[in-house]
Amino acid sequence: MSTFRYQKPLIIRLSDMLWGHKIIVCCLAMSLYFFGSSGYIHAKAVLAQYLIKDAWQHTLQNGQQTPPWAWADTFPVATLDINGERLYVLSGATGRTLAFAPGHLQSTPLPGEQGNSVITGHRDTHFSVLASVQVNDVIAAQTTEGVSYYNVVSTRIVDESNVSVIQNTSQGTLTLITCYPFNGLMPNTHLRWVVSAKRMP
Amino acid sequence: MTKRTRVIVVLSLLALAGAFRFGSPLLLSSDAQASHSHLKIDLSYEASTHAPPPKRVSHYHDVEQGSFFVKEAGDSGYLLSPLLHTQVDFTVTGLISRAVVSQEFTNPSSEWVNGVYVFPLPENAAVDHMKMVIGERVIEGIIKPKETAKSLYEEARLSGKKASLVSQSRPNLFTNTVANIGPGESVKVVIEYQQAVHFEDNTFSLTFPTTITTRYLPSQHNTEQQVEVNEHGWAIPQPIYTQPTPTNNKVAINVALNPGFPVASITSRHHPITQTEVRPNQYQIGLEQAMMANADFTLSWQPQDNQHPIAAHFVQKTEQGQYGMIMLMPPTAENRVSAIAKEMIFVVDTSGSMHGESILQAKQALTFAVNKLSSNDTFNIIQFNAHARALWSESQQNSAANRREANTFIASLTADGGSEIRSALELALGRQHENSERLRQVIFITDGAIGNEAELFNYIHNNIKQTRLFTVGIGSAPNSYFMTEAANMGKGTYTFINTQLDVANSMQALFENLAYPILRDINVAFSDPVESYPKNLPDLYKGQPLMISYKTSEPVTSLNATGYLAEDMWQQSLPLQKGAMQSGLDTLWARRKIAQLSRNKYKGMEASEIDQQILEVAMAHHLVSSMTSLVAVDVTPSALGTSTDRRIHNLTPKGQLLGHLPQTATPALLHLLIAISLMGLALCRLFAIKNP
Repeated sequence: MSTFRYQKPLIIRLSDMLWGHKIIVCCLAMSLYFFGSSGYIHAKAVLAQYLIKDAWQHTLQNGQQTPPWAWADTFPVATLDINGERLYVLSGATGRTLAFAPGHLQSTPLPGEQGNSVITGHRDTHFSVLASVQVNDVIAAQTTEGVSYYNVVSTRIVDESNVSVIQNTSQGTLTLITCYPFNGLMPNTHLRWVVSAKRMP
Repeated sequence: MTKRTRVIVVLSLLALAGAFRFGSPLLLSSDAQASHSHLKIDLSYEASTHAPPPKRVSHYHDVEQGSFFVKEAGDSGYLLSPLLHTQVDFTVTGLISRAVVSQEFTNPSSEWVNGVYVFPLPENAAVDHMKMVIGERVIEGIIKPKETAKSLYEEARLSGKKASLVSQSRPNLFTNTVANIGPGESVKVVIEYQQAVHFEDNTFSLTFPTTITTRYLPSQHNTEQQVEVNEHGWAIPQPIYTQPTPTNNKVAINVALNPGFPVASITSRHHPITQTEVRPNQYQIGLEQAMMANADFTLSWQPQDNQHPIAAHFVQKTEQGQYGMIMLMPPTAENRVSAIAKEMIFVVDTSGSMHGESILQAKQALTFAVNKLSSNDTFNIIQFNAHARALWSESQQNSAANRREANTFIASLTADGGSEIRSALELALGRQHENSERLRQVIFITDGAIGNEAELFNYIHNNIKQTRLFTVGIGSAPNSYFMTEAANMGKGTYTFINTQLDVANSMQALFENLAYPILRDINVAFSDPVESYPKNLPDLYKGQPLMISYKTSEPVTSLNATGYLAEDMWQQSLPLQKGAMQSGLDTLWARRKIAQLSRNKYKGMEASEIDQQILEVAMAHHLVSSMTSLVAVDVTPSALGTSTDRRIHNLTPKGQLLGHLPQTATPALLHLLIAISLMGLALCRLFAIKNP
């Protein structure tokens, strides 16, 4: 008859077990946090492109600036085809925009227009593709005005204070900027990878 | 078996917690607090961004392109700019301040060059004198109609003579071009101007602007104001450029202060100064060190407590007649006036030019204002960048809930995009209730980085009705001409906030004013015929004097001013037989007449006729204006060939962020690495426990 054995409630047992392995639990919790944070950055970068793609289709059809989601303060302005990868570019190169897509520096002309168009992107999400870009590669840029093709003339590494790379030029130029080194761990890097391309006639 | 399930349970719980931590901001952001939580998502990025990227107006084809860049000569790349030293000497006598600005252009290159410098001056400055100093020789500038002056200058430039041309591109923006500076040579250009000292709340003040906010010209502006399109197709005269060696443009300032009464204190708000009393009631003020030309210099002085002036009269006798200046202080009437029920509309600029310190100041000012409203007021907030947006479609009661909503709205403001002031004005002035009991006040907070002033003045003039318009200037270099004139049209005042420390004080002073308009519908009658300016006198607020400039052929005996003080009629007469002699009043009068004439233009009078009148006044008084320029030409040619153009860069106003490429890295990889090592650590520990 005395088979009844007192068992502590589940919640107590659970907390006992967690306490018994507190170091492991802590490590696991933090590990999950950072996995989540890292995954979140990538997920945001990948998923946002789908929403932006829809907004861009809309823009192409009716010519209106369409925010990709209701509360967005930006809108797609162009697409880039680099080495077979298509990227949708948003207006504005702020930290907020760059999390979702490469950002077009508003102070510069759009691709296809006279002058130096500057587009920046995160080295570890969208613009990781720039690592493989080589001189003479062709980049296609589409805006509401049409498609224009650019020929890569140089890739170089500059300091972040070197704003000369975004200065205007007389010819049609496309300048793509991302952080360097590509596999660097620290987000506060002082170096930038700059791809310059000249418009093909 | 049970242990394994427990581990799974724990892990899934943690995963859920993590998912919630990241998911919640996304879910929240669809509601009203959108931008609030939006910011939170990106906290990891913001933290890693030590210099925000340069952000400018939204239409790339507008002002911005000219901003970063130095003038380009063919394909030879970018040119160095000539070095520039500026020295300013002020002499303040009574209510008049005379400034002598010396600029030395040095050409460090080995070629002959022409220097172009665009410089701001106070909006009421009358530039009446210019001379060019080449070595030992001094060449006096002469006043000519604008076109004539320009062709004289061009002729001199092409024939290799040294020449200098001072012209006005806007009422507070002047251009000084100097032709043919030889290699290693220096040319000094001395410009003199004068202005009336500002007097409010028993404080006299003097401002010297040093740099210009980049103006934003909206895409569809359609006015006939004078804009000069340069060879790159841009009608903005001044490029802003990030100076790699910012020590180039330094300004030294000296002030000889002779107020005519004992001074209690002399302060400079933004630059440390030195002061000495040379004689009784005469002071000498200097800068502790030459300042960088990136923040306006403001000097203020106060009379001693028992010496507060209540009226002043200065006269100047010339061959053309007698000129005078009158200051009259209305009585203070705080205890008699109870606060009137008001409708307050706050309009805040959230365009790209406000980015940096400016938007923070604006938000602080707004928060202060909203929390200072009295309980029977109604209010609304309008923000504008490329579009204008109102918080509510109608003004709302000042309830706790509405205040909360307003504060959330304010917190969510960020500076980005163009600045379409007009659409904001349409929201603020376009829909007014006809017979409202309330006093309607619009408080306009902006840096005034606006290029299409004339069009806006026109709109304000036609739509202001009974609304009072107050402007609050934010940042290091607001366009104070636009702010003052707009406030003038709306019978309001212009408040200038330079640093964040000033916000509370300046806004407090403004709010006291708003609550108690002291004197309205002011009228002034002289005993004898005079020509006096300004024509339509503004409402006066606490601490503000009435200032009038006049010209007459016969001496005037007295003046009678009337107005309404709350509901009562107010009247005061001032005998004018006595008055201290002072020079420069004619220039001041002429400057005010020109200001009045330009104002008439917005009121739909014939433009060509007004231009002719401005030309006559300016020529008679030797003033630089929209119709006249000062030109000095050397007699002997010095350069052999033609010189190339160089432009001196204005420094970017303090607080505007330029000069860094955008930050383009995320901490994703770092976080992944940390995650993996922590996971490894946990697994090692687990194995260590399992196999002791």
